[in-house]
Formats: sequence, structure tokens, C-alpha cells
Amino acid sequence: MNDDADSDRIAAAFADGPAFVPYLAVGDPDYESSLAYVEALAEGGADVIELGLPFSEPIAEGPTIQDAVARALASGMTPTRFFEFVEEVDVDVPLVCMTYYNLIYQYGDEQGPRPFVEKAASVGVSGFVVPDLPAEEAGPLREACDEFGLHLIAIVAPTTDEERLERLVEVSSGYLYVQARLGVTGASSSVSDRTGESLARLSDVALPKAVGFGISSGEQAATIVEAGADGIIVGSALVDVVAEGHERDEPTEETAARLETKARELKRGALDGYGRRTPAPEGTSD
Amino acid sequence: MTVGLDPAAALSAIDQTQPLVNCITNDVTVNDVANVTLHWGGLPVMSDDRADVVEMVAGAQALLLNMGTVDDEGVDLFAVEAGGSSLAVDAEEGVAPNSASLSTGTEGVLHGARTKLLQDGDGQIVESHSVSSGLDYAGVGPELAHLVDEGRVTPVNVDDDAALEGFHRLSQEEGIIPALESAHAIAYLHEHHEKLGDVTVINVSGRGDKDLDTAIEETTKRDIANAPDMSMFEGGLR
Repeated sequence: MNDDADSDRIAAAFADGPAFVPYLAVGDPDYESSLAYVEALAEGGADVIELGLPFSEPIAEGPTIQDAVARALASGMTPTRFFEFVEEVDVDVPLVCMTYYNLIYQYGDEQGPRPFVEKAASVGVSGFVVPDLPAEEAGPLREACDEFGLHLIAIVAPTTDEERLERLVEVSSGYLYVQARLGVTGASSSVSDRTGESLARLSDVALPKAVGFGISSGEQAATIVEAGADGIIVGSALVDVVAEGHERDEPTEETAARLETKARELKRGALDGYGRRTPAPEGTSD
Repeated sequence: MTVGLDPAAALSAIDQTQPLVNCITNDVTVNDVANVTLHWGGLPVMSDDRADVVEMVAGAQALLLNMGTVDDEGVDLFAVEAGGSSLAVDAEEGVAPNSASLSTGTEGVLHGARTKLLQDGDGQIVESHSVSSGLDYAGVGPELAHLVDEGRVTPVNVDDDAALEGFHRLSQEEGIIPALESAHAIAYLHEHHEKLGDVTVINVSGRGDKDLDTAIEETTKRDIANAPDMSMFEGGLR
């Protein structure tokens, strides 16, 4: 599979109805369990998987994912181990690396993002989400992504103004990560009613819009997709399952089975929401 | 500057906003004060217009430090960092018991700024430490890091104990309680005044009343030579 075909895997994931995009922190609570958990997400219907490469200062994350990151770092997760993980994990969906810029910047012999992106491409990563990279400073990473055929996915917040949105879209590809609400990541019992509003103002952007931050149930997934989202991103609600299993000392396969069940619920919800749209959509995002 | 129209109102504004005001003087001595400030290499700002004064007072809320500029090569610039309890970094534990990123850090990107950071080889940020919570950070402003790279600012540091000594020294000798951040500079001046030249200006960047709890707690734990009798603070401030 050449680089171009690899990049298109993300577009393909959004082409046939709503995409379910789950997130887990790699190495939480340890390398081996993490392999089983990511594979369970794929079994449960994931269309794209966001793999968190743990960073010591996860500024976009709420308490749930902060704890996951701490467990993963304590288990010895590093950028080098992360790349080994991506090579080893047995899934057939595009993988997006979600991490913070300093790890990308420091990797390899030369400073700057190129060695990291080159390595990521060689192990099969399809794109990046980098919450602490300002659009103004994204140039070098964007260039490296173009060189190696990877996507750079920007996060759009409800407070992102029009001028900033234009800058973000300029450096983005793959999909847009639309924050359903303000604040940090974390599951919540109700989803923001501003999602429809957020999606409406992005209607001119050609990229698929995946909504995240706060989605924790199939019903919420349905509501978000019905409101027009091309995909849903779910992190904390799945990390909660991992954390519970870890606290209870549950065997890995049981936690993996619960993750797969949760994934199915979310994927089902997304599909239901798609079916509820009125009038029925004539096609998909393209 | 001279307060003309309504001295009471101007003084009340100064009292409320608590700026760092260098000189309040009158028509008779205003030029002498300005000339002395000039002689030191400072850049005095003068006004006897009430509206100007009000504006300057408001502007001075953050910082009024008019001893030359970054471009003035006649002025040596030092950044006194928090040496904490040690300058050594324990990469294994991910701990640097200091916040001296200008002196000991390496280039990286944190919180959207490229600057000098306390980090390990992968780029993971290590835990910093300082007795001053305001300095307890693994990075530093990128402008300062740039000025250090250019050779314009010399980074130096003093440890936690010295900072507490500086805190007590300025409090006792001048009746000014400095923030623990600024207390590092007071300590550096005390140790190195002989080689710093005739005039040294310290930016007392913040008030120490915010740090009293910390100063009492940390002083009680240590043997600080010039500390007052700390037993009077037993049971805390409130």
C-alpha cells in the first residue's frame, strides 16, 4: 500500500455513513493489555482509532484521561514503545496518533517534527491530532505530513472565531475534530446543545466533521450524528472502562469484552442517529 | 512628577492601585530627582498633568522599571532563577528539584511556546520545584530564553534557602516584604554585590504578603541565619 492510498483510508472511513472514532491512551495500564483493548475497539466497529501517545502535560485532557496517561507513563510508555505498539497491534482501521508537540519535536536526531512523522509513516500511522500546537506554528508539521502522506487533524472549539477557523482549515486534512463543548475532555451525562450550532458554521468546510468531548452513550452518539456530525469521537467513556477493569484487577479479556460492548453501543447509536436524519441524507460527506 | 490639581485624589488613586512609583516629588526638586535618575542611567518619566499622572499610575500597576532598556548595552542584565534544593535532574524519577530552566534546560515546546525546558530525552516534562510557587514551572518565558541565547541576559540562580534569607533581609532592613520570586534576586545581590558595579536595580516584581504562609512554613523547617523568631507565628497567620 503506497502513501497516498494510506492517507485515503481516513476519507474512506468517513465515506459510508457516520464514523465511530474511539480513543485510548496507549500503554494504559500496560503494553500487552493495551494491545487487546485497541483490538477490541476495532472488533466493536471502530472506523478510525485515535491512539494517545502519553505526554507528561496533557493540557486538553480531563481527569479521566489524565489518570490514563499517568498509568501509561508509569508502565514505561515512550515514543519508541508507541511505534512498536502501532506496528504490533492487529487492526485493519486507520490509526491517528494523538499527542503533544514536544514529543514530536524532540524525536530523532534533528529537532523538528520530520523524524517523528517519518517514523510514524513507516509504522502505519495515518494522521495526527496535536492539541497544544497553535495553527501559527503548525507549518513544519504540516510540511512533514505532506512529505510522508499523513493527515494533520485540527481541533475546532465553540469559541474558535472565523479568522482562526480559516487558519486551522488551511493546515488541516483528514477530518476536523469538533469540540462539542468548552473545557477539557471527559464523559458527561448530557451532550451540548451547541453541537448543531457548531456544525452549522462549519458547513462550508469540505472536511468531515467528527464531534468529541463528552460523548458517553449510544443515545448521545445518535443525537450528535442526527445533528449533522460525520463522526463521533469517544475517549473518556472508554478509558473509564479500562480504569474500572484496572481497579478491579479484572482479567484483560473481560475488560476487552466490556470495551467491545461499549464500542458496539456507540457505533449503533451513531448509525441510529444517521437513520433519524430528516430528510434522509442523499449521500455521505462526499 | 508633580501632583497639581487635586493631590488628595491622585494619592488616593496611587493608594488604590499600588503601583511601583519611583518618585513623587514637587516643583522645587523635580529636576534634581530627574537628573539623579538620569545619572544612574535611568529614563525618568515626568508629568504634572493630572490626567497623565492618573494614566501613569494605572500603567504602573504591573511594572515600572525605567533603568535603561534591553538595547542599552551599558546595562548588564541578569535573570536570577530558582535553584531550588539542587540543580541536578533525576531523569529516572522525572524530577528536577529546581526551576532553573534558563541555566540547565534544553530547547523544547511547551504550552505553545518554544523555550528552554526541564525535560528528559524523549521530551517528557520533568517535575520542577521551587520554594516560590510562582517560579515552580518547568519552562520560562520565550523572550527571556531568547535573550539568554543571544548572550544579552546572564542566567544565574540561588537556592531555596538563599531566597528565604533574601526575603527576610529586605523585610527587616527596608520594611519591604518582597515576593519569594523577587527574593531570589535580593539574595543574589547580597552574595555578588561586589562584582555587580555601582548601581544595581532589582525588579521587585511582586508583593510578599501573598507568600507569608509559605515563608513562615518554609523558614520554620530550616535553619535560616537571619530569620526572626518564628515561634510568634505558631498556629498560623489567622
